[in-house]
Amino acid sequence: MKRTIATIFIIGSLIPAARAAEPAVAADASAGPSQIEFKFKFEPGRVIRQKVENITVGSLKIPGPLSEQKFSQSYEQVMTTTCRKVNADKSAVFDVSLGGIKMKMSMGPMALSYDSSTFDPQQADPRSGRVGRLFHAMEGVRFSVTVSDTGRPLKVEGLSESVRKAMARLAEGGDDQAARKMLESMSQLMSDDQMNEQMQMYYRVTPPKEGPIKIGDKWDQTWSMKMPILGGQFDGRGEYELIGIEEVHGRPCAKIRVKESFTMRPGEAGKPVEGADAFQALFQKMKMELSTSGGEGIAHIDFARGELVRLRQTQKMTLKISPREDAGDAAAEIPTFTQTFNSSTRIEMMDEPAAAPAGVEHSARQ
Amino acid sequence: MITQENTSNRRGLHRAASAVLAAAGLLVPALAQDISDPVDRSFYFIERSAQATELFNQNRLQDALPIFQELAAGYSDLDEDGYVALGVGDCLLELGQLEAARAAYAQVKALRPDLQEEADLRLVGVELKGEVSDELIAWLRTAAEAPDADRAGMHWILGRALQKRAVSLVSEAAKAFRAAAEGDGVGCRGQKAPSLTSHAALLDELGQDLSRLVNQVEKAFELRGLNPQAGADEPTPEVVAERVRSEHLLRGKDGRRLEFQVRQEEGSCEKQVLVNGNSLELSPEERQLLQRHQERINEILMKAASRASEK
Repeated sequence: MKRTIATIFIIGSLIPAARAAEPAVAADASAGPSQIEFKFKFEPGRVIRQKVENITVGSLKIPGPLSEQKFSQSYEQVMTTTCRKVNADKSAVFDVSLGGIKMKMSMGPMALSYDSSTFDPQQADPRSGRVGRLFHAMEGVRFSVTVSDTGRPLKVEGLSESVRKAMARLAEGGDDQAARKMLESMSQLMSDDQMNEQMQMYYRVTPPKEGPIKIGDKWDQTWSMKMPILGGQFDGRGEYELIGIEEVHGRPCAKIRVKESFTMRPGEAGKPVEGADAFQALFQKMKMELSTSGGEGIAHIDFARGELVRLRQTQKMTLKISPREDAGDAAAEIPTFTQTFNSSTRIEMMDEPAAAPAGVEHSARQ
Repeated sequence: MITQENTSNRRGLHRAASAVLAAAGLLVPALAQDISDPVDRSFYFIERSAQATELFNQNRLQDALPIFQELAAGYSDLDEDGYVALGVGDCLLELGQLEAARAAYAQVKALRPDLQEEADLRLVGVELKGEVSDELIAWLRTAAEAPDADRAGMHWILGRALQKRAVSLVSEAAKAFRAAAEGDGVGCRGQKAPSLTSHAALLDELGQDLSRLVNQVEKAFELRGLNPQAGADEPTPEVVAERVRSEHLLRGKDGRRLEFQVRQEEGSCEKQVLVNGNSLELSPEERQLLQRHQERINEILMKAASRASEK
């Protein structure tokens, strides 16, 4: 059960990373001070770095004789996004890489920590070492995102291969079956198709219709995406409002109030995974229902350059785990319990981007 | 229904060491400067909750308590699941401040009807630290049979309460027999005082044995929980057997006679048992029982020898 919870939280901590990788959108700077217009301008060679931080806290109520455990987890990473090229049809390709991963987890008497800048697989204790090797293998994971001329993600490439290489690195480093199994499970979430679906989700902060928007304008979005690793489908709903235009980090930004909620519905029972270990087999027999509430936040988007400068958002998550109806004998090993957690996500632009190299073509669509 | 009249003792929770949230610590001062904005308030609440959680899990309760108190007082609107409100009581309980913990849980119960079940379980934990009342046992029996109850969990708590109650009852029975032995004999026709006193001594023995067992179980789950180091700090017994060689010729009701030899060599903790010269394999439970009773025999012998040497 501890492994299940750890897996869910490691996966959950990676989801916010997709937000930061959303390609740049640019606004018409000639609009008046009370309104802006989101348009898209891609500059090949331009590099931005964003720090993603997530904190989760709550109680783990494990049924049975063990008492309630207090849980907290913090996760941060650096997303580096580089505009590689602009295609003839005005779509653009961005290269995204993960780095600077730090993670800390405290659950009752247990504690785990990982810092990519100091991690040494040979020195780590057995428990932290397993998680550390997993994250260490993911350092430098890269993928590319192709977006349309309106900034909508079209496809993701290279993530699946990057994760496969990470699994190979784990195998080279020793026979840590548990870490490899965990990464195999996570590879379902970190596939090209799955990441593209997630990035569709994060396109929502921009208004669905073109044209100028003024302070007070609102829009909403709904979306769905499958989450095979968690055995279900996510349905999301978001409400957004332009509430201001202000300067952040010296940049002119559209200040957008965000209010989002998610529900995960259990999906159909999947086929048994060949070669699944006892943990994976048990995981497949679990029904997970996840819902969120609150979900309020503020996003600052640089409308002159079209970059996400800052996002702060909190969520209250309720996770219910129970045996699936077809769990059979496995049902006895899967207790029914509900956990509630508070989570905060912060994305912050780290520094000024590098200038585009000389001679690189770029197009601007006004 | 749990009442405040029950006596209470300390309830331990699971604890261990972990790293400090350096990143959150750096962010908090900036956030604290502007916490009127709803998003800023939520961020402050979550980051401070995480800080308090890490401190609690590190057993730095004096540092965790003021944070939980601050959040419970100023951010109750964000504490939908009562995490920080109950956290105040958890810190007090862990610090051994039982009456304060009881009051904190009772306050949660009074102010938060949606947390009544949570608060009741916490109050049970407080009660289990002291003398267990018949009222608590009756409540637990009902709760354990409720249709929507976590039956395994509730029966576990009921078992803990019953065995603690048994310790009190056995002790009370021993006192009653002693009082009877010291009385004028009315109502004890045919019973001689020395028999009653001996019986009381046997009950004391039983009570001490049961108390030791109860304490072992309580300690194992209160302090260790998920900690893989559980049991590493078990106290050493009063008397240690360095070598054991004993012979027992036993005859059963059926007339069968068996000769047992029990041996433990110097430097070894393992006991070998032979029956009629052949090795006898004991189950883990049998070994545990044998060890437990042998330790008690050793203590009785040592105490008797000490008493003899004082004469």
